Amino acid sequence: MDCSNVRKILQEHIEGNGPQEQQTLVKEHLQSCEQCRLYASELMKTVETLQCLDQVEPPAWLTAKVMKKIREEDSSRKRWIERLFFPLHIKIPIEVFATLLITVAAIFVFNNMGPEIQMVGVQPQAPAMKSMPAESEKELQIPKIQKQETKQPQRLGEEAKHKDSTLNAKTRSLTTLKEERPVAQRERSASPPAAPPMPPAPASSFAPSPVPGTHQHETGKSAGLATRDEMLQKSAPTEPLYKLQAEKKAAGLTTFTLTVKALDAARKEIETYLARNNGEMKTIEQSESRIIITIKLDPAKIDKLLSHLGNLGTMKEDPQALSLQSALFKLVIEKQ
Amino acid sequence: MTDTKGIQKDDDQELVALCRKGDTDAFEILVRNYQKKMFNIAFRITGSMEDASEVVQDAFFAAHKNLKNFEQKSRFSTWLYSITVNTAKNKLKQNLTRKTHEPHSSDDPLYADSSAKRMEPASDDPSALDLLLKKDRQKSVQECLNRLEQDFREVIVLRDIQGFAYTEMADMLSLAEGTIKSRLFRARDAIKDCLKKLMGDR
Repeated sequence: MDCSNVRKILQEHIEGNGPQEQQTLVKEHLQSCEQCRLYASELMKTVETLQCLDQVEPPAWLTAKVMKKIREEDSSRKRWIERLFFPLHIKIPIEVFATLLITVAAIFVFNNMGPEIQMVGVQPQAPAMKSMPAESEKELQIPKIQKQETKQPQRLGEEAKHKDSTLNAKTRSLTTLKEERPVAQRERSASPPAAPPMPPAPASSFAPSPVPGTHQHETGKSAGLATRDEMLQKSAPTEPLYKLQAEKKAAGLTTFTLTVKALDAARKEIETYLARNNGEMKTIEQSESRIIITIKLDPAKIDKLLSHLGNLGTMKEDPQALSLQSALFKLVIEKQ
Repeated sequence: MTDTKGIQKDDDQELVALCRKGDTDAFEILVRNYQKKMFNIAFRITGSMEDASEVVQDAFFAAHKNLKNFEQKSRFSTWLYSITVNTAKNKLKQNLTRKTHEPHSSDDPLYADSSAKRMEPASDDPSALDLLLKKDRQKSVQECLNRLEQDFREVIVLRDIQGFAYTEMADMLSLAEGTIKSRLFRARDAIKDCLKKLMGDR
């Protein structure tokens, strides 16, 4: 048997492992080989020395030190858990109740968000203002120009005309919205619209504005814009918006207020009068209780119109009426 | 030792279950039961009482922290010892990176004082000379262990010094029994040559 093989087997046999046949073979080899005999005795001694090594005692403080740290960690963790959950029979029901309360509140708030959006049509004043901030700002600038007009009356006509054309564009957009609205509203709810649709005649007499076109385009393009437009459609035709607009516009133009019993009759009367005297209705904003018309008429004929209107109902004249030199003025027809 | 293992296994299961519920007293029992063996494994691997103390502490903290991850596939003690071996190996790596590893000299106060005092006498009635020789040999053995490579050291510590079975060692070290045996045989040869050299010099 090879010495290296014998040494391998010796390692196994030193611990009493390995088959008995191998052990006898190794014994035979050891009797003949002195080197392997020496190796075997040295290996036995080494293993015995290792096995007989004394056990070392750990320091006495070791357990205490380990447990101190573990208890500290444990108590800091427990403190949190105790604060949150203990005593269980009191805190668990409270926590369950609180969770339920929060859930119910969240659902309640969420549900209330929906009606708020739907209520835009019912209480449109605030949303209408929000939806048209740029327009409001522009229109609020008008009184400043009006002040300039009093100093330079010859420019008043031109400037007013210019302002009016921008206003016309906006009004036109509103008119378009209003024309679209009944269809949309019929689809959404059975309730009738607050105001009757506008006749197409006055709108068609204006120069074509880009606003309705872009509006329709955007509606088709984006869903987000579409919902915003829907809000605008809902809020646009209602009375308070007109009131707001009328008041703002009234600040820019000389305004006459006519109080009548029948709105439509008065309107027809004005239309026929203007047709006869080369006058024009620039814009018409109509609601249930009033009609606001911007009229372009020769200043010389304005007095005649006013006296004519005096026959229809009670006329309330603007303080500036006497000094009126503009061809453009505003007429508010209110229902009695 | 093998007799007590069976009993310990059952005890440990209960204690481990209690520890998992947050019973620190149960954990203290485990600490008391296993600290000596863990300390000895750590001491023989690191070669330093100070390091061994740190290793045992760290091993217990790690065990306590990861008690929920203990799957009970092996014995709790095996799991604990494997943590100890790994912590001790990490400690050695730390020492190596901190400074070039210096083997313990007999002048080391920690080793010379505390461990020598705690060494139990080998025989019931040892003569002074025998005791001296024995101490000398023990120091030499530790020095030879310190000179061994880590992989060989852990095998010889667990098998020849601590007397673990090959199967348990395979669990502990995640090694095949064959690998453990071949490492062990080479480690024994190395220790044998080292001891021969050291004892021959003296």
